Amino acid sequence: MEIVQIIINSLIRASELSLLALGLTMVFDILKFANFAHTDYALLGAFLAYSFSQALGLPLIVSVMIAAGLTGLFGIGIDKVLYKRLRTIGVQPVSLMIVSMGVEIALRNILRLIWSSETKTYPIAVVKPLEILGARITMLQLEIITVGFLSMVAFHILLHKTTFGKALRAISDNRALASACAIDSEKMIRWMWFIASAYGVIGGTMIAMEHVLYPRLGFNILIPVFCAAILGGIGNPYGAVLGALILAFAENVVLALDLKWLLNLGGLFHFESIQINTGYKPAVSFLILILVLLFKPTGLLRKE
Amino acid sequence: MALLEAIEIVSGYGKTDILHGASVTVDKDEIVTIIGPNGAGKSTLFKTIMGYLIPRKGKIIFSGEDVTRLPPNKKVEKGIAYVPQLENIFPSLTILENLEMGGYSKDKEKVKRGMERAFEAFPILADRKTQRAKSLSGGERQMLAMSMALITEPALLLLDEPSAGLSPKVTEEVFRHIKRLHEEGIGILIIEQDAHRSLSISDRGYVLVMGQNYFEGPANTILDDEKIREAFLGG
Repeated sequence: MEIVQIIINSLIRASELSLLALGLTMVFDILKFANFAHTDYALLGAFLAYSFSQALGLPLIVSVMIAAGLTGLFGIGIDKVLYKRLRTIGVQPVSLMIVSMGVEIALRNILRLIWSSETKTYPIAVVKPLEILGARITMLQLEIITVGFLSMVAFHILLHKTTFGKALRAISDNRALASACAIDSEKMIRWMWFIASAYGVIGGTMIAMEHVLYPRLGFNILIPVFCAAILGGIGNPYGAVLGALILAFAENVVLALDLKWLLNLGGLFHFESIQINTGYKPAVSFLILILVLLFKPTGLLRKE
Repeated sequence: MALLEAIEIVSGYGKTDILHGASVTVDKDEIVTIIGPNGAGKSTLFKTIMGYLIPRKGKIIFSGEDVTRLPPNKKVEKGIAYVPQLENIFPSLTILENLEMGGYSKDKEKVKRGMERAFEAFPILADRKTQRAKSLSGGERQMLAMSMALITEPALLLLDEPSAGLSPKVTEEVFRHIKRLHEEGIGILIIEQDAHRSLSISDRGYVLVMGQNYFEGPANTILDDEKIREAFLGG
């Protein structure tokens, strides 16, 4: 595969993954537990967006925005009925993580109950891809990269230029001191859930748009999203983006590698061209995850 | 009328009580110092006054209002400010952002005035305002922490060991600042290791032992008291 094509494919994948990894890392940063249901929240939003565009005939972009908002509220709701109660009685983060696994199973099956296991596709017109330096990219993919990039910029501005973002960083640094500054951390946590869930919906919907939508998709993208967050250093939003970029490139490079030089053993054999089956793509994140946990468990950009 | 009255407080962590009926009063223009051995419950008393811990028994009255069960962020809005002993700044935020967080509940004008006051009192903070707070030295951190607490223009300031880990020169500067705040009419309650230094600028003092009031009185009587001096002030 052409280098340019690898770069384009990686950027698409990185845009999707980083939007999802961002929410995961944010929840971990503030509440110290990994939310296993994070990608299922995203899928809930993806299904809602599908229904809004199908049943109500809303434009896709509007559907996604409404779905992201509703899923954000859903994230707040789950926090209110589950996590907040457990927080206030002093439950350890590791127990919250296990609770989130329960939420994941329940939500995945609720999605299946409502929308069935049948795969669905969004009403996106199939158009001829554009050609850039010999590489192909569809309009949708171009939009994915643009939205991904703009969302990252918006998140950076939110964190550093708004009082809300600064207060969020303050809570992440020191929750007790934040309350001595009159910051209402419970209110901040609610907004954090909203943003984490809504960003996830954008990322999740992008993945579903590029491929197909089905209830198990959330579970299937859990490992790459965790991998991106952990590789970048969990708790650090910039790390999540970096992790997503590295993982996306690793996946695409591995799949594009031609292994004939290796298998031909210096001219002993004459294989034409051997590539790794795309079915092994998830193995890349597993492998990276294992390597990171073995050699640099804090990730690349550890939060101070 | 007393600014703060903590009356017969019973409080602690989980099922363990640390305070067994301690009482402290601070008047509007007073500096009050609490001394006592390690584990006497000094920091616990502060955490209870602030609302991090809810007392099992007793009452906290601030400006005539019962605030016993209010959480910390509400207490700050009422006019109590608290500078913890350790971890009293946000290390990954810049100095400017730290000050901004100090004034989180206040309007922009007030925050701006507070920042100007802080930079006037501690010019070093102004020079480094865009740097992250983790780059500050111990003394500078204490200055920043106090400045953050003061941005809310509190009526009462709680200082937990303001001189801990500071050089004598910096300690001197911090106490000069405390005295200045007192002159501006802020009630100040201090827990101190460096009890001599703190009592010498205080109006009154308390000796807290095993979670109870052991002695209370004018600061100079504590400094002059033979027995207390031997037991708590290192002779």
